[in-house]
Amino acid sequence: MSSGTTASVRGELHEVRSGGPVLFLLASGLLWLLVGLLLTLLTGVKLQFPSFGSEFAFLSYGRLQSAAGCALVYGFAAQVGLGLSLWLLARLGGRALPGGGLAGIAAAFWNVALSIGIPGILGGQGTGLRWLELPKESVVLLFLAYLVLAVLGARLLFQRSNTRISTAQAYLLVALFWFPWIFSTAQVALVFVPVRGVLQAIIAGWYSQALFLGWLTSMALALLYALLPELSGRASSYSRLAGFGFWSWLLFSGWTAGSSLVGGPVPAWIATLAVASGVLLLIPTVLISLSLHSGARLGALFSSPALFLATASGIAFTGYGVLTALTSFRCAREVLQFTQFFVGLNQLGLLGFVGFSFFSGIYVAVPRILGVKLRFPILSALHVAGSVAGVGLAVASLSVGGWLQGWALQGGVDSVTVVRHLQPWLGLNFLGLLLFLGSQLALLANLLAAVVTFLLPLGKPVVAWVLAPTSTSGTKSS
Amino acid sequence: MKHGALLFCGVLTAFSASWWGLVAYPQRQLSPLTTYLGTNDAGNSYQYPNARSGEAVQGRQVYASLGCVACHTQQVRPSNGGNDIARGWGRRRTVARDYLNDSPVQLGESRLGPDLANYGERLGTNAFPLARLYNPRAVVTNSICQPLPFLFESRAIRSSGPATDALVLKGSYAPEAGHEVVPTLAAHQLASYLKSLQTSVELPEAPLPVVTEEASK
Repeated sequence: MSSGTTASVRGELHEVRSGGPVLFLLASGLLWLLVGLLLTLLTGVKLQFPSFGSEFAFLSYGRLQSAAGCALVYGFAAQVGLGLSLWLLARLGGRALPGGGLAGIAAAFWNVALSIGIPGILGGQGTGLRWLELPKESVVLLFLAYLVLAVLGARLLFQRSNTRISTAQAYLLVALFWFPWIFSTAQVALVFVPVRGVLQAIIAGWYSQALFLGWLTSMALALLYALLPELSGRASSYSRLAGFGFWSWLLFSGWTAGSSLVGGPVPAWIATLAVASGVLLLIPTVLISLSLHSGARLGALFSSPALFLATASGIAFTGYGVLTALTSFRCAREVLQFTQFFVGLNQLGLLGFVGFSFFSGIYVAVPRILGVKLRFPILSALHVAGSVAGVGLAVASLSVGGWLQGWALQGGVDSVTVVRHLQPWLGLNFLGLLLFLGSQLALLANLLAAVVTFLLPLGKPVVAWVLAPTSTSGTKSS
Repeated sequence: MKHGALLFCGVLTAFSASWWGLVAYPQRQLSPLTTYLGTNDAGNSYQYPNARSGEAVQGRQVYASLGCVACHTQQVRPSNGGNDIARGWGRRRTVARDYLNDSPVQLGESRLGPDLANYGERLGTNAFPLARLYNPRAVVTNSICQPLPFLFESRAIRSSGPATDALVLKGSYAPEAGHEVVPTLAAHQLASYLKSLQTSVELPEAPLPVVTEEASK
C-alpha cells in the first residue's frame, strides 16, 4: 500500500514535469476544436442558405466540410488525444516525459502543418478523399511530428516502472503504432503514388475506419480505463472482461472498412466481411461497456465533471458500437446508406465518445499539471451540460432525419424534395452543434482562469522587480 | 497482461492481418483489371472504359477540389441492394472496371443531391446547362445545390459583341443590361467532366438489362 502511494506521488511529480508540451497540445487542440466546429456550422448555414458566401470559392460546401473534418480529426482529436496519451503514459509508467523540449517542437510543427493544410483545403488543394484531404506538404510535416511524439510515448511505455501492463497502457500501445501505419499506407497509396480505380475507395474506407476505430477509439478507451476507477473510487469488478474486450476489439475493428461500400463497385467479399465484422463488433462493445460501467454508481455521477463526462463517454461508446452493429445489416444499409444518419453516427463517435472522454481527461490532467484547482464549478457545469445536450440534440436530429431521408430516397421521392424535408433536421443538428460550441467557451474560460491563477505567483517577483525601481525613484523625487 | 512482448506481437498480428486483408489482397485482386474489349449486338467492337478527354480530366480536378463529392455519389447499387436503378440513376450497377481511369475516385458517401454516375447519359445529346453551375436554382427550382459564380465572369459586353458561350439567364438571374455572364475555363472543364459521366456499357460482369418489347412500350 505504502509503495503504491509513493509510486503515485512519484507519478504525480512526473506528470508535472512533463506538463509543458502536454498543455500546449491540449490548448492548441481545443482551439482547433473551435475552428472545426465553426467550419461545421458554416456548412450547416450553407445547407439552409445555399447562396451564402457563394461568391467565394473557399466557402464552397465541399471545401468547408473537408476542412472541418480535418480540423476536428487532426486538429482537435489527434492533438488532445496525443497530449493526454503522453500525460497518461508518464503517469501510469511513473516516468517523466523525456525530451520535453523535443515534444514541444513536434507539437508546434503539428500545428504548423495544420495551419498550412486547412487553408490549403479551403483554397482548393484538397485531395477529395475523406480525412485525407490535407495537401502533400502538410502531410509530411504532420507525419514527422507524429513520429517524434510517438517515439517519446513508446519510450515511456518501454521504460515504465510497473511490470504488468494495464489495460489503458495496452490501448495506448495500439494507438501509438496504429496511426503511423495507416497514415503512411493511405498517403502513399492514395496521394503520393495513387493506386488505380476503386482500390482508392477501399483503402480510403480502410483508413477512415482504422483511424476512428483503431486510433482515436484506443486513446479514448485508454483514458476511460485509467480514469473511471480513480474518479468513481471503485475498481472495475470485471477486469478480465476488459482483457477479452481489448482482444476482440483488436480482432474485429480492423475489418469493417467496407461498410461504406455495401452495394458499391467493389468485390462482394469486402462488403460481406464488413457486414460480418460490423455485427461481431457487438461482442467487444458489450465486453468493454460492462467492464467500464461495472463500477458506476448513479449517486456519485454528479460528484465531478470528469466522472460525469467519462460516464457519458462510455455510454456514447456503447451507443456507437451498438448502432454500428445494427446498421451493418444489409437491410438497414439499403435504406441508410448515403444518408445523414451516418453523419450523425460520426458525430456521436467523434464528439460524443472521443470528445467526452478527452474532456474528462482535461478536467483531471490540467489541474494536476498546473497544481491549481479549476476555480469556477459553474463553468464546468455549464460546459458539461451544454456539451452533452448539444451532442445529444445533434445526433438525435440526424438519426431521425437520416431514417426519413433514407425512406424517402428508397420510396423514389425526387432528390430536391427529399433534401427540402431534411432541412429542419439539419437545422436541429446545427442548433445542437452551436450549443456544443458555446459550451466549449465555458471550458476555455475555466482553463484560462486556472492558467492565470498558476501564473500569478510566478509573476509576483517579476512585478515586484519591475515596480521596485519606480517606487524608489518615486521616493527620491519626493 | 503480464507479457509486453506477447501483447506487442498480438497487436502486430492484428494490424498486419487487417492490412493484408484490406490493402494488399484487394490490390492483388483488382490490379489485373483492364479495359474491356467487346462486340455489341450490331457486330461492332468497342472498348470500355475509354479515357476521358483532356478537358474532362481537368474537370475532374475541379470537381474534386470543390468537394462536390460531399453531396453527390457516383455509384449505382444493384437492384437487389437499393432502388438506384429504379430511380433512373443508371441502367446497370456500377462495377470496379467503370473507375479504372479515374483518380481520385469520387464514389461518395452522402446523397444530399442526386447520384451522378450517369449524369452525362441523362443529359443525352443536350449540351451541359452551364447555368446550372452558375446558379442551380436558375434551372432546378428549390435546389439547395450551391451556386458557383466564381467559375464565371460577369462583365460588360465587349465592343466585338457578346461572347458565344455567354449564359442565357432569365428573370432575377439575368445580368443587368449591357452585361453578360461568361463561363471560365474551369466551368467548361467541369461541364465537360459531368457530361462524360456515363456507365451504361455492356460488361460481362455487369450486363445491361435486356429491354423486352413490353417494357420498352
